Amino acid sequence: MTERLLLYIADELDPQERTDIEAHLRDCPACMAALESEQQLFDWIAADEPAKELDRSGVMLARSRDDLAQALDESDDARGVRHPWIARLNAPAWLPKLRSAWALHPALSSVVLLALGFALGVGVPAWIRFGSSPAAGKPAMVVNAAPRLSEQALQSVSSVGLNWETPEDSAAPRVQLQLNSDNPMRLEGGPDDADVERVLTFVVANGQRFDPGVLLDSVDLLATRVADPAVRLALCYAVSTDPNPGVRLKAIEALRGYGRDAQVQQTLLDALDQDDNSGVRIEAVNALSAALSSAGGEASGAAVSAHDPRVIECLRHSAQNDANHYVRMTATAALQQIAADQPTPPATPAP
Amino acid sequence: MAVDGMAFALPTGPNRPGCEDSASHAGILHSAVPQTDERALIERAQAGDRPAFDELVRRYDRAVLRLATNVLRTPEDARDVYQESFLKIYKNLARFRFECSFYTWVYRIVSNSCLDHLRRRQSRPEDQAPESLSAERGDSAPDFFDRQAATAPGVNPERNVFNQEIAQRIEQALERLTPRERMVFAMKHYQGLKLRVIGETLGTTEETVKNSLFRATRKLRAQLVGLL
Repeated sequence: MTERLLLYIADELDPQERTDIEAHLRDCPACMAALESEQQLFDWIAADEPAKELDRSGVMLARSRDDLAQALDESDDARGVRHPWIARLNAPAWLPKLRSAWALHPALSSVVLLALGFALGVGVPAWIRFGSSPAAGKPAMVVNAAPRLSEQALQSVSSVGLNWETPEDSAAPRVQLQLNSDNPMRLEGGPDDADVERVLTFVVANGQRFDPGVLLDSVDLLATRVADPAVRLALCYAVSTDPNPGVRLKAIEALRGYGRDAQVQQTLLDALDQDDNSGVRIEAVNALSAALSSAGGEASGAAVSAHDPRVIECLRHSAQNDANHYVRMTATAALQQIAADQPTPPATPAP
Repeated sequence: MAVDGMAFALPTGPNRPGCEDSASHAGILHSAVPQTDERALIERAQAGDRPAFDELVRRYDRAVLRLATNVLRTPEDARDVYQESFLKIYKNLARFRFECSFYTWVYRIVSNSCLDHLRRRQSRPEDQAPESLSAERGDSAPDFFDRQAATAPGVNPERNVFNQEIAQRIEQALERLTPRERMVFAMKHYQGLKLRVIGETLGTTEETVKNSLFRATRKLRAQLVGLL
């Protein structure tokens, strides 16, 4: 009977079997108690799911995707998939034939080698001289400027490879971007480089298309560029829509100094009210309270007043009703700090 | 609002595409995309279209990592299985002939990889002793906010201790399962698969899978005696 109860709870019985079991349970307290015990076991097992505990923030999935992308690239390189000309060079078919030709026809091989050497020794310098001589009506040098990234090229990008480091002698990171599309392109520069910033902003605004690791790095790099309204808008969009809570959290961190900007504030309020990740909600509280503190925050565009009643109301609601205890604590602390920062009204003189 | 060529509207409420719906939350691996669309994607990937393969990975990898994590219970091994499985899928994609569903094929590869890892652990425990999940729940837990949820003051401390006791005993019981019992256990309890589907994936009968589940549950119940 225990096994049938197990199959009943696991939803593995057909409808007739389920009906029979339910009819039996109505008249058998012992079996009903056994069913409750089995159900308790199932509930404990469900609550103990390791995947929920070990990767709540989604970082493990993001890193796994990154590692896989790198391994696939290396696999493609090894097979000559990404650079077919390498595969042709490595192709074994022509090598044995060439070797046998050299070995079996030494005289011919010598003549070919001499001719090749003569051609290279005479022809190449002549070509260089010809190429560098200015002809009438033609410029002496042709300088091809680095191509700017057109909007069409940006929209057609299917994936982005990103590598960055901060040189020892500089505070600004150096970013290398590999844009994969019909016309692959490589960009280098700092986040303040116009094209680099456009690509990073594009990645954040279209996060679903790109690798989560690249997305996280893009948010990190754009943290110094939040004065740009386009960057702020993309980060707000990431907070509101990205499925990865790690990305949403990082985007809020990047927006932290701009909590008094109307768009940013609305985004933070929505995150505090509706985000299903407690870490994201806590960061929203911190960003909102930083904006309301006496130090304030920068804002451009539409700024909101120092103590917007909507913010206070939202913090109060979270302090009382959020499902997570730590969010409630943080919201309560934020309200206390805001109250402490209020200027003390002058004492009313006695009549 | 359009800025610098990008036009998008900020949603007013939770509107995150890719949020787990009830099907994916139950661990059901198959895509909600119509089969004709997926077939076209697979065929493009088989023809060498790397972005098409990347799209296939994105559709299945969350569930793959979830299964590997639930079976092996350590992040390192789960990520190894993730990588091995998708590399194997990539290298052997040309051999997939649509004789079964793509998710069954993927699941088979992942399950075999998990079973290999479990068998290696059993045969060389001194080399393969992983950090247990209970050790992971200590200071090495990966996320600051995850730790706060478990240890924040105000949460019933007695309830916390009791839950930890249950979790430890479940883990001890799982260490005693055979690799196949552990696979069946995880696929049933965490992925929500039917026993028939588990049997197809593991290349065995539904009856064999049922017996594995019964044995696994008996071992678990024995470990939790006194609490149930």
